[in-house]
Amino acid sequence: MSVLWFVAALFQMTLLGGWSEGERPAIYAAVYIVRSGTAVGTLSGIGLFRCFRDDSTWVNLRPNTITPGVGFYQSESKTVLYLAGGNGLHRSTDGGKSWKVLTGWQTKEVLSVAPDPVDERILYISTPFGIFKSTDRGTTWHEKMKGWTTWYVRRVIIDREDRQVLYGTGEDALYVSRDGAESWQTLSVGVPGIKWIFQHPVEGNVLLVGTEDHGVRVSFDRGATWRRASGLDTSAVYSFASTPEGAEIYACGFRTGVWRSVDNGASWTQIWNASDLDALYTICVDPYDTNHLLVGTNGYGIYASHDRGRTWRQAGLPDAHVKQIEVFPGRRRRGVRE
Amino acid sequence: MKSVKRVTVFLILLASTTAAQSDRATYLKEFRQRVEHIKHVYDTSQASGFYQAAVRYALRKNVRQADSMFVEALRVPRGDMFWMFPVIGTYLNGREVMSAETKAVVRNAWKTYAPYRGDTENHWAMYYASLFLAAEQWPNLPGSEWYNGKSSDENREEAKEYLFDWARITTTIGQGEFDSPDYFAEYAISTILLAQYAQDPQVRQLGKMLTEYIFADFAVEHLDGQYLGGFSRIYQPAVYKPLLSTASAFAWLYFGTGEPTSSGWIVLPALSGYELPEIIYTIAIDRSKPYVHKERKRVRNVIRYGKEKNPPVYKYTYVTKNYGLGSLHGGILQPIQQHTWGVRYTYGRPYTAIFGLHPYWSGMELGMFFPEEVKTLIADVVASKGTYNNPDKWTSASPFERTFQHKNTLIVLYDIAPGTTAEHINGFFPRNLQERIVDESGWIVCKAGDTYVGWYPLQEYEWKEEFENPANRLNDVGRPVLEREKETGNWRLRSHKLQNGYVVEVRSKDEIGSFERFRAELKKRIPKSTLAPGHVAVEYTTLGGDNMQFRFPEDRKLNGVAVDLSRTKLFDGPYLQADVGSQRLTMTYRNKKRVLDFKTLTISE
Repeated sequence: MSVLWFVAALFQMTLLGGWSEGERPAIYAAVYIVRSGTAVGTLSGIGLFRCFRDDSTWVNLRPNTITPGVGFYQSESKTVLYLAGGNGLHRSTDGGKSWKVLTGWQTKEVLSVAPDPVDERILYISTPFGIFKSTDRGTTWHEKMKGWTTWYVRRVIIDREDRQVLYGTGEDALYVSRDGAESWQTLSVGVPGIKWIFQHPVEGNVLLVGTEDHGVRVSFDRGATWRRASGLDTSAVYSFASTPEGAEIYACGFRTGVWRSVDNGASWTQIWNASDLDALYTICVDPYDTNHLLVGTNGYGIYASHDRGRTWRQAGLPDAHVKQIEVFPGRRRRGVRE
Repeated sequence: MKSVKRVTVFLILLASTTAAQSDRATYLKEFRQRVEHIKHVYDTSQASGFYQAAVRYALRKNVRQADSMFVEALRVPRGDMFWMFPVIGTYLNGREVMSAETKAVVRNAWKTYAPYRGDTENHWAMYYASLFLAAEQWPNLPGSEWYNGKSSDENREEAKEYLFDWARITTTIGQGEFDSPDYFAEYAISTILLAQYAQDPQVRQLGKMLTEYIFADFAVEHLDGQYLGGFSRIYQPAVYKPLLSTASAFAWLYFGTGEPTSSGWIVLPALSGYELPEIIYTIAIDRSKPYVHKERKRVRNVIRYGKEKNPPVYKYTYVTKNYGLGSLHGGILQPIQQHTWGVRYTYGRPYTAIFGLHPYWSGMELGMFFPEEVKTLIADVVASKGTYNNPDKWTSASPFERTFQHKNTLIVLYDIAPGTTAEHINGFFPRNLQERIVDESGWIVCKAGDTYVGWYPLQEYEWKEEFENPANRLNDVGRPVLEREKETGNWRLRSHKLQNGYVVEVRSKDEIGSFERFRAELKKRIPKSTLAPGHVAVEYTTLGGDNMQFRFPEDRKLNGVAVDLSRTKLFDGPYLQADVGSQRLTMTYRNKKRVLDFKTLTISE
């Protein structure tokens, strides 16, 4: 047995640069659709794409479904990929070689997934028809919308410091649950059309939301009070990302270009106007190299910068609408995997 | 004397029974001839395609050639649910004769190609009907043998659950993607395949009942191969050349109306052996008496900007042997391709329609129904539905449009907010009208054979000559080609006033006599209107003598009595009856009756 382990480890070290397939850091891109007129164009399909950080080749992990989101679960013994897709929530336990759809006909398209970071059995998904929770690894699902007055939920996330606390972005408000999604209350952001919710990676009291027409709203007391962020105050903001310690936070949205904040989101400065690109759906900071930023566009694939946003170039999937980009596994910070 | 009477009654009954049997025999004979026509077209086609292979398999003819055609068609899978149904349909026609190698290729396709489930009702009907049949064909396989990682049992059960739930919703609050001349095919193929090939007796019965349900829904609003009334979805130019719609191909195959076609959409139904019950066929073609038919449907799933997921849709259709005038009550009921009202008639193919609309588009409209970002939705939609943000488009829902119909009279009102896309309304008048007279009274009086249409615009307007593609070409999925070429002829009525409307009167020669009399009667009836922002109203007394008062958006009075649309049944007319929530459709034709009871999954006569 130990010989086999040694051989496997040697293979891993030799061929995969010291990482197992699940551990080897890679950029994951959720491809929603491809630009019309190009059909599938240069891509081999839609779904989840992966590019290892030490490589430049994008590989289609399938499955062939519109993909607005991706999620991960990792324990000592297991790495699981989740794909929020048009055909439902997909799970892969073999690095994307094969997938199983966990949801049935009742959940329609899945817009985001939030796997519990500790308990693999617990999963949350957001859909146009509400939030659903599973406590048995996706075998059964239950709608969790007590307290909601609308049903479209673009994104659900779990609080970094308290797994019982969740945030859901609604059409009319930001919602919070403090009991594992059993019940929800609104947080008075003061504006409707909440598109995205972001929690500071270190200072958990800092929450940011991107809105449809009112830019960024920021809270420094975990949602009790909110204020308008300066700089990005009238735009549609779709996504945030930060460096691992949260010293720099980035935002993007509809005809916004890319913006940076160095004061936990209170004020913003544009670093790239991206004037040729309509919408930037998502932004990602490479935790292994914080000079390396990536954005997902609507029909023009991924753009990347290697100098903290000063210059940008097309970096793959040229016809794709890319809705989420993540680097996984993240860099360890104080023993916590980001 | 008594015995003579008895004999007479017996002879009459015998004669009528024999006549009915003879009619049915004639119908079936002609139907089978049409089936043979379709088979022959595809049997002799040498192109590699699913339907060419399916026909060869069904005929047990050139089976090896069918194998190679099938394998070739499977080589690069694409099309998602539009791939699923021809694949399983072809397989079901050929499974007993195809080679083991071909079977293996088909099986492997269901393992390796992951079809997208789609986001519309027709997508899901195709997806789950096909998946159910495929899971039955390859039972007891683990998830590793299927594209979605689910076992045969899991796939079969999920599909069955969805199909029953779809039937439950459809028969309680109505179909969401209802009465679509261009998406009828997707439903019909799905349900016919289930009816003919499902092994599970419950699903087989469900397939049979759903097939009858959607055909009955079509039959009662059918005239001369055309779907009548307001529609959830239709393409242009099929909206003004009605026989281009795929439903018309089904009308030709099953009702014997319209024009002969070799449309690929009817190949699998033709091969399936499915025969329409006589009562539906007779409802489709008997136009000896005019009738009013009302329906309730539901709005497509509202995900944003609404308080109700599936608000009701109220539909009203008046049908005669010459024309049908039909309308939805108005507002946004389906995005992009809604046809709110129209009159269609038997004269002058292919241009057999007059209708009007407010060409509206907005991110808000799309955001109501699609989960993508509102600000990018218009561009996303225009990529596949190129006319969406075109101010000249001929299909559209609008929040600023409402209708009020009584028999063969229709009032349409608009109260359009300034800055709306677009700030005008349009009316379509075909090139081949025998008359299009602008009478000094203000009425536009049209003649199309024995059908007369009067249109009274409430505001000033202009005429624009219409350019369009005269060809009846279809694209590779059988949809009308949208290209426009410089051929003149049709006419567009355009009015730029935001508070607007018109009254439409339709009569046939049988109903009113000469065209001159129609015109003379209209001249005596000038609608009284109020057209101010927030106050758009009209009062009009119809050619039939009924007084209609309509104040935008929802205040309708007929002869002084408020019209309560909320009481509209699922089906309400001389041929079809169904109450909201009943899951039960009763078809009636003369002394015949047929009841579809989805609660008990039974058909009774």
